[in-house]
Amino acid sequence: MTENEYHLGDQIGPLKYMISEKDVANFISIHDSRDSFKRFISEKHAENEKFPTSIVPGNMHLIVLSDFLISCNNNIVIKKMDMIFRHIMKQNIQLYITGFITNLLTEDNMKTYECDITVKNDEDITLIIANSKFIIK
Amino acid sequence: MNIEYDKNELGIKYESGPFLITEGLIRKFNDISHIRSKIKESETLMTVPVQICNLFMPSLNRPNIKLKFGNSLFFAGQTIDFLSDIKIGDSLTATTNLSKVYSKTGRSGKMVFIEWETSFKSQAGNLVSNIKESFVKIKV
Repeated sequence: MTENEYHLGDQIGPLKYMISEKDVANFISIHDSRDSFKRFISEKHAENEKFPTSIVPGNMHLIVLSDFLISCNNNIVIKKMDMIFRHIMKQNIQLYITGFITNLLTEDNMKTYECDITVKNDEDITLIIANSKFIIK
Repeated sequence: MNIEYDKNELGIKYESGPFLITEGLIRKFNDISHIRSKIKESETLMTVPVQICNLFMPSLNRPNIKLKFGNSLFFAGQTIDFLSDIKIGDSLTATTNLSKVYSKTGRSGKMVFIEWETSFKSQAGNLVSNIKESFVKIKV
């Protein structure tokens, strides 16, 4: 396998990843109205909204999965990402991200890879199931 | 299960934006991304990650659909199509609509799913990204 080519069944990763409180604070700092984000930075607000602790905002997960693919090959250009969140993701926990190439196809005259991705925690619980389509430029 | 919510909101389009793509925004994106933060800034400013549209999602203008069920809302899933490139200086607008509200029953009981569809366009009218989001509301 060359760096610029994947085959059906190839594994990508695993990548160890952790989303810190600082990462979440950076994400929230982008937004003007920060009131709705309090549950992500305050344990008290999280508990008020029935969360066990401060969790990772759902919209941050795309950055995590993009980081995962690009860390394996920085020429990857993501065309589609489909994510299902199975459990809440706590901040500051060790994540293990793994992908498998499940399909090779041609779309818009470009060789396109399809990849199933899972994000698991230390206890091997699957937090996210995703499917991505990407090309390699 | 009959779900009580404002059904008149189904399909009604709400606009948000403009969202400006600036160097400052790219720098903030780089601060969040563990990979981009390790790359030389001059390189990261040459290409705008299309994923940047997703940063705007929590700021979108959406109606209160007056759903009378549950007390805790979770993000359930997201599907994103990246359709064309973005560059610094672009100004994006988003159009969002409520597309579906339905219920399911799992181990933990009944859940109501709320789905939204959003399209981002550039100032030139080019479709940049389509995003479907799904939220689940449960009783805790």
